[in-house]
Amino acid sequence: MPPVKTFGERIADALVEDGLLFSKQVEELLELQKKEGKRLLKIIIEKAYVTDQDMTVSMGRVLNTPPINLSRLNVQQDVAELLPRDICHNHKVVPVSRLENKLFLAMADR
Amino acid sequence: MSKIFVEGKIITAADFDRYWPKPDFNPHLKKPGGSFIQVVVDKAVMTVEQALKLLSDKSRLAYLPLHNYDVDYELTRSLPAATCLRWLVLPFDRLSKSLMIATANPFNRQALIELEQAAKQRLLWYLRRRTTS
Repeated sequence: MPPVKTFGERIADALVEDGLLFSKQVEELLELQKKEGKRLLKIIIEKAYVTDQDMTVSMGRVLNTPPINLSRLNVQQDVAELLPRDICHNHKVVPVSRLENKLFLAMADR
Repeated sequence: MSKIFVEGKIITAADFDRYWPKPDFNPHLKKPGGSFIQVVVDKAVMTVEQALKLLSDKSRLAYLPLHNYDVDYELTRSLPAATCLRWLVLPFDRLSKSLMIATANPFNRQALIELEQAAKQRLLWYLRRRTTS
């Protein structure tokens, strides 16, 4: 059975699949990860091989969570007020929409 | 959809067949096609919120209120209008190398095939309320 891939490796695979990262770059990053002992995702970001958007979309794909461009969405006030402001700040979440008793949240991975 | 609405005992199979819109395959379509959800709502079977929540639960798609979204109409216009009108799908934004597509029917494989062929990019799907935009 092949070894289970780490979250970072799965993101790297998604980036390669979308042509945003070359396999050779991933090999180089993995080597660097072994040497420096840092998280693969951190190294990808530090090297600036991909943009924040590329990373968000790929992470969303691996986590089965669709990305959203909050700068283009005007969240309705009644929806925004459904979560206490301090919870939103502490957990970096934003209520985006609601259907009946189901609330859709956008969340940053920072 | 039939599985959700008929097997879920929300409507009968006969009603499902009556409500299901017949797609217009005219390649020069100018008006949006029919919406099953709209019919279900018009027939007072359920509210639009209830119907969309059901679809979101079953498809696990996120609901996006596009009437509050700054839609990239240039992107919308770059994809075949007939496909978008026939299947009520709306390409509304792009992120990285993916296109964001809103749909009222998350189980429409034909729309997926037609848009994938036209866009040749990865598609990210979102649930929307039917509008004529």
